[in-house]
Amino acid sequence: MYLGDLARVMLRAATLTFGGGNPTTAALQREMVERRHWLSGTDFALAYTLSRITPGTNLFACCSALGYLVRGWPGAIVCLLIASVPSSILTALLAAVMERLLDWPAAVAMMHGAIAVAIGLSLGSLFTLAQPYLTSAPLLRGLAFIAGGLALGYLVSPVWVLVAGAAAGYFWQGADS
Amino acid sequence: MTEFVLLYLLFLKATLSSFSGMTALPILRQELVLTHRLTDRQLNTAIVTGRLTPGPKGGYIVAVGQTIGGWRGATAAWLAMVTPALLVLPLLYWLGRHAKSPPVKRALDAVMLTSVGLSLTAILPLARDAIDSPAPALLVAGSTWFFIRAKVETVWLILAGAVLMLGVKMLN
Repeated sequence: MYLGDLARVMLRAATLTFGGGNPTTAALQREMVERRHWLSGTDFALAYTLSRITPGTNLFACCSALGYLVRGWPGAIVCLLIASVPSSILTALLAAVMERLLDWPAAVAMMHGAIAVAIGLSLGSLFTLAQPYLTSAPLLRGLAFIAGGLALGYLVSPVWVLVAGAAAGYFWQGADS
Repeated sequence: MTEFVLLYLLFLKATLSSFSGMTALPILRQELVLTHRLTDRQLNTAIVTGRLTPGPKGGYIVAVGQTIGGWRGATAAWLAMVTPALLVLPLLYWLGRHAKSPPVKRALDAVMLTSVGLSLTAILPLARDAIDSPAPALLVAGSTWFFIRAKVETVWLILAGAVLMLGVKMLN
């Protein structure tokens, strides 16, 4: 597998996927794990998990980690640049004209629709991300972790929620282990 | 050059203290809005801009950079956003060797699922704000279904949502 193939997959996921980091991560999971088999589900979970406890923008840490697992340091650098540069240029371009767009009612209506779709995409991507891990372990245990993340997320810092999840998973031996 | 470095350090302070999309917001507000370099309206506009483009929701920092410092500010914000990302690699190097052991694998799977719950805490308030009539509710439900089942490129769904909402506004 060439660096160019990795770059193409990353470019497609990072520039054509809207709705935030989760839809992009779900698109990468589909491409790298399910379709091309570049990584195992465990490798993907490792990259995703560590990116969540890395300070900064989780998506960019995740893309760097995925690139590193597939092609080492060059893969990490290429994935980080491809995941961040085109989307940042688009954001800066839109920011330059956004104030004027907000004075135009038709544009505001279109943004309202786009944001509603982006929220739906985020929800759909969460299902896509969770599905392989819900089917490989007892369903009730999986749902308990999701419910725990949701409940604790309102109470403590995200890092502590993830640490609690990791500790519970480490020590909670289910019927599958 | 000094202004660029100062902006970079300001944005880096915000991104380094953030562990999910919007948690850098209080620091940016404190450093930029309370010092009158940015208004609350401009900050909110930047957040909306970040949601309308590909990439992470935290990408709104680039829009903030663009608003206060033009392309130089946007570049400083981008640099501050990507700098911490490489911190994941030492973690990956040291912890990756243990990933195959059953308890560590269970812990990784658990964090994946806990993250899903955690992400819901960020998405649900956005959904509550966006769903103010039946049309956006249908768009949220429809795009969720399309993402899971149809595997359509999300850019087309975003465009369809924008056009449908414009149509609803014109009909009203």
